[in-house]
Amino acid sequence: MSPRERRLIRRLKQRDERAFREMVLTYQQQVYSIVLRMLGNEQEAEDLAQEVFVTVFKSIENFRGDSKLGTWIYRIAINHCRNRFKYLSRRHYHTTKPLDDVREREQRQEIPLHGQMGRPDEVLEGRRLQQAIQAAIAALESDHREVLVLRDIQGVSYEEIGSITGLPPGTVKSRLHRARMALKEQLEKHMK
Amino acid sequence: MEREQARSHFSDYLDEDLSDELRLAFEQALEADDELREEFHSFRMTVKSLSSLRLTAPPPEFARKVERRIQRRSHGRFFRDQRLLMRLPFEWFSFIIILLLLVLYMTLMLDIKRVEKAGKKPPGVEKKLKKAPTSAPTSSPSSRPTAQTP
Repeated sequence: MSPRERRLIRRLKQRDERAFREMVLTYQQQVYSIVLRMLGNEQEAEDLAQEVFVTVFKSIENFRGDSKLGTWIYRIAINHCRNRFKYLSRRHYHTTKPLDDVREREQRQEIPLHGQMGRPDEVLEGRRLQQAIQAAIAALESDHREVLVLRDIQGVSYEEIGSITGLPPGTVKSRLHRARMALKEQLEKHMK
Repeated sequence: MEREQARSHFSDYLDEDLSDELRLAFEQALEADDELREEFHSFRMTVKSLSSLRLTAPPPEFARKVERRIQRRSHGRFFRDQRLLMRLPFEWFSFIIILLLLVLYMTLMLDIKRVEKAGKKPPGVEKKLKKAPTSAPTSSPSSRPTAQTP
């Protein structure tokens, strides 16, 4: 943990509102991305991402500093996602419309898939592939989705994923492999 | 290496997590099996496409919305300045209006009392006012000097 992060945590524990704002601005994009990829719905993602930061504010005193602050925040985000999944599954929530939300958002933001793509046909192809990827992610089981989003989209290390999900490193690896294989199959289906 | 065994090493190979011996065996299996090679290529492309998905920016005013949520839940204990500014036009404004109305009422009441007091003057003053002629005032006869005296 860097001295800057240690200072930030100390200020957060003192309920420094400026420090809290700084922390939200630092982690909002990562947290929102995780939650959005997990839920596939913009409104749900915004609401849940806000809840994540409210939880961080409420329980920062319980943060012992065993892991990085980011890892701890990701853990809260993943736990919130799990709870939301349970809640939504009880309400027979379907992810068909929400996927469109993510597609529309990505189209608005014009995110290139493979670096800088200039040609329109390449841009279109990139968008089509992104839509297919998001649809394939949404079709995965939630525990597969967790490790996949954390490792392959957010670039979190295996150790950190273990710390976030509470799984041993071996299980993380095997689960990630199964998730990748499942995603490959889903993508092949979507691309056909 | 069997095809099934090679499949189970796809992730490890990509993550460079195989021993030299296993990596060599895996590469040999790929070379020998076209179908396996194609499957591995598809697997590699899937993982590559995932890593190319970028971070998504949160909606605008996200941080402010979080603060407002905390402020609401804490009943204004945290992020209070914003709360005060938000509430000022509604609560303070009505309070000031009530206060102004009260001051206006008091002023009017005082004026009425003053007028009433001014209207109830002593009876002697009222008689004098009634007796006084409406024409030009004249001096009293007692003060005038007498021309002829017996």
